Amino acid sequence: MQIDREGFLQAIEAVSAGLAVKEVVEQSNCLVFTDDDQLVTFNDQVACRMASPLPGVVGAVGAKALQELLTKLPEDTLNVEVNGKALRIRGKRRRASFNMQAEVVLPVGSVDKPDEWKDLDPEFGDAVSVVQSCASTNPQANFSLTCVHMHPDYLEACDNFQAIRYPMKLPLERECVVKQSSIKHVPNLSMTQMAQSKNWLHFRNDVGLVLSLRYWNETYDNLDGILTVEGSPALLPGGLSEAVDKANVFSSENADQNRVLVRVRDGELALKGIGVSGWYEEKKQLEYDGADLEFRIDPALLAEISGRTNECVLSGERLKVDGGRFVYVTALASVNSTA
Amino acid sequence: MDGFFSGSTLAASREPPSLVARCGACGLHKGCSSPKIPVTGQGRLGVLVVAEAPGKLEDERNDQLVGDAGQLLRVALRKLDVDLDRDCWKTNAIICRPPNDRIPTNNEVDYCRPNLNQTLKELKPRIVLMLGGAAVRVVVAPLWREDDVGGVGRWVGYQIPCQATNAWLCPSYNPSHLLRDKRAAMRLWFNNHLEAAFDLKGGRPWEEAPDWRKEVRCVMDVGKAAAMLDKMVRLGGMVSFDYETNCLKPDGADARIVSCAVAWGRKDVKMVVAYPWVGQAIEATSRLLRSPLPKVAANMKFEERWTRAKLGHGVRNWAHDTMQAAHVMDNRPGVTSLKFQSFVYLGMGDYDSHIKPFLKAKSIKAANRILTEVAMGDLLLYNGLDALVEFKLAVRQRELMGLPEIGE
Repeated sequence: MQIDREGFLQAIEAVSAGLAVKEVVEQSNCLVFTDDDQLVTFNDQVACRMASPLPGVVGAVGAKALQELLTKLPEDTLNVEVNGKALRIRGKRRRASFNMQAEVVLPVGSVDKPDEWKDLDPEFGDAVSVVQSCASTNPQANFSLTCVHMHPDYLEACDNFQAIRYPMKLPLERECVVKQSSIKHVPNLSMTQMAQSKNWLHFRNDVGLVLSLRYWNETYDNLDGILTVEGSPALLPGGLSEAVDKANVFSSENADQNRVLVRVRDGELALKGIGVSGWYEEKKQLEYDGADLEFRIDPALLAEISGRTNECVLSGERLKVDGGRFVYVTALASVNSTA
Repeated sequence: MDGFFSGSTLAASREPPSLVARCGACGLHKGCSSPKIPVTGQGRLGVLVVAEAPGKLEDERNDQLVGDAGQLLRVALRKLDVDLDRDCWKTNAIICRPPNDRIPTNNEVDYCRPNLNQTLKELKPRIVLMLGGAAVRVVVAPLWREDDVGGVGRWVGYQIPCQATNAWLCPSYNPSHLLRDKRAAMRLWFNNHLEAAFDLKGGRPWEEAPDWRKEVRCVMDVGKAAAMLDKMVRLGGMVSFDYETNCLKPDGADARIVSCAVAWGRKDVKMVVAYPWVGQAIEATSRLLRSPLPKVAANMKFEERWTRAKLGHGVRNWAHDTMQAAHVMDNRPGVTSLKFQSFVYLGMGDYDSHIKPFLKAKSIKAANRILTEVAMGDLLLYNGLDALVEFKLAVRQRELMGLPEIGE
């Protein structure tokens, strides 16, 4: 069978959210071609499904090697065939064979089927992008801190030091929590529809990719009290986005937790990004005469906030920004206590 | 920088268990003739037998409990007029044969647990007979203290009225152990355990599994708490009570009672109140403890000592100590704590994992972290549950010991 290499790679990329780095669940690090001509991946938290680029092929192939080789082959068109327990790929004067498990044992049957698809708000991807950046990415953190709370009227997240709520009508039958590590894939996939089944949230886009995320009905602590901040109004300095962009050069080296440090003192706001290869600091004037304080924030979120508004409210312990579509609050530390 | 939530609130949030077996991480299936042996048996009595792991014969036949150990169990059950294959469902803690029939590791048991969870969900057994340490671990660890399950010797012989599964959990030895240990006493215990398990007639332990958390009234208004305590004294009955303190001994200058909880009733609990240890509530507690109402505690020495130190008088009319009773009933190590007793006799699952880390102190006189890291609401609920299970446990222990009801 002749296949378009680029199209095959795009299909693999589209379902890569469901791949596990290690094969904890059987075939969870594989691309699985099912007998109903679907390409499926599943890692217990995320499942992806789309029309197979190899119709008629059934079995499981390790994803990493296949994707890597396809990226390196120069041909636009490749010949693919299944020979016994191997998936063989042939180009001009080149051929490769990938071990293939003929039997599909990926327990993707545990993903319950979506029932009724409903349209998503066009800004849903943006909302997820902003909100998920406030959930903790620390695997040792407590469970609810690593999740995004999905409510019929809003999305919210909190990592114990910052909290965000993004009001938006969601087509949910019941509220639930979804792990940040799962929902972070949504913004890149241009999802347009959503369905909720017993244990899974399903998203679908215009090219027919279905992304299913495991959810839980755990109680999520009420953030109302955290998001209510009484204090003095203040104005964030202009040009923060550009400063953030530079600080991000270093802070983004901390892949697990990309945060920039914001420190306010002596009428100045200092923004600092620290990474393994060095640091960057930029100071801005700020009209503020309260106590010295500091906080850490995801640089993308700070850029997002500063792009929307420069108004904030400062209390002794918290800073609140009403970004128009969302409300963001961060805990503040006095500079001396964290020196 | 201080976060938004208290340590206890955060600790209460734990990732739910996985629903999919970790066969890829385990890998035992790759070395078996019959990987992932299904549950077998007809289960007419609604009994699920969980043994440890398939052996050689099970692996050859793709069936559970058909080897020598299974035959030993079959013979023992026949004496009780029970047919293993007809009356029970059969499975193992892990469903692939380990190399050389070794005992499964804790990791293998944990990887395989979703299979058992799925079985429990689908079959909804009335009785779960757990044979061996791995079987106890696979069933009990998610229900009770995962890091404190211990060996099978701690568990054998109980019939646990598990609230979470609404099934009787009945641990005993693995029959393969009896093939190696030929002592007559072992056989006798094993047979007794089976007999006790199959003697559990009348369905499930609970008509509807209770939620005792809803019975605890956490009262921050100490005037209201005082009024409730005074009402208990007026109405009579019996009380169990429990202190939460910031250190083990009351003698240090900083030693404080942080909260108190009282469960009141007659044959069963009618009211549980938990309150901060301040103002009028202290005075009302003193009146209650000097009243003739019979008192129950878990480790009464602790409550007596703190009462004397902080209220200046002792507790009048002690009636029952659940810890002493546990010692009298069973002399095995590791069985006398309130949490263990409340699980094996009342089926009460884990209710303290989010508080426990903050109760520990560096030394006997050092302060723990309940004042700094436990939210008062969390502490009162935990305190109230302690008092409630002390009351219910006292009633149950006296029943089992053949003692008269308190107050009779």
